[in-house]
Amino acid sequence: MSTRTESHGRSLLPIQIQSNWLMIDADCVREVLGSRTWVPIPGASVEVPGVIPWRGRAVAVLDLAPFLPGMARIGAREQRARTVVLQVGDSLLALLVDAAREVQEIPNAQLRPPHATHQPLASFEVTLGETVMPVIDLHATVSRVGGASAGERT
Amino acid sequence: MTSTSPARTFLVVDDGRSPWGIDAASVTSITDERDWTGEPPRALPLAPVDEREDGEARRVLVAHRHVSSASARLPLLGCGRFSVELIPESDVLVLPPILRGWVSHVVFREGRPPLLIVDVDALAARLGAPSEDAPS
Repeated sequence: MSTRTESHGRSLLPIQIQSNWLMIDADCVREVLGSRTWVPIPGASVEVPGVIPWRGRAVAVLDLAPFLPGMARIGAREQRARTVVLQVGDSLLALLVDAAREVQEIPNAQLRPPHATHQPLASFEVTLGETVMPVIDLHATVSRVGGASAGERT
Repeated sequence: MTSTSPARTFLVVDDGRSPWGIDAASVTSITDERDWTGEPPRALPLAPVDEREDGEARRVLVAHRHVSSASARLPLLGCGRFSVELIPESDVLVLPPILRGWVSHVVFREGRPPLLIVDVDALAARLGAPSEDAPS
């Protein structure tokens, strides 16, 4: 996926988890897959509760719910329509989402400090159509779940 | 179809819900629970064994642990079907570091629940097992 960030803006992928629309940095996206069954691992944290198989690896599943007020944690047998494989620094992670839209090129002028959204992991917010979406800081998220050890190193 | 890729041999304990496997080379014995006379076997921290359906075979498998300069065994309680499976090395996926504990690997299997591979030493630490066998 070619989504190089331009100096005048950012490439962002809108994703939906439950009723929440969020944006993530498209530069971190390695692949968007269909629905995948994930496997809970005994003793795992709520933020990284299990794995999916991807290209011959077990990739850690990232659940944003513990960080985002009002979002329910992913269930042990729950499947979602899309699986977004992310490369955040050295970490490879899978985000299970209900929907993903086309990558949006957002000019810097449209990136506003979080105001309407109240998500602790948001670095900015963007209005797309009539929806205000928080832009999730994936690097900060990964730091909070265990830094570079969060996912399979590439 | 035969596979030419390297393979690993696991003892698989499968109750149809939460199958787990252990390196077959580390297993020193398997005994029906009714015939077991050693120290109380430990159950894996999965679904409680006591809540399993009646009629499922309960066996004690003794796993050898790699403890420095000491002999150590870990008796584990399992129920369901016990089998030895040869699994291609490429199918045995190591868990990411943040998830690696007493489960160290996972095997995804077509049409069957995924198989969790147990690290005996990490499991012993998790269960607080003694670091060496008591003298007999």
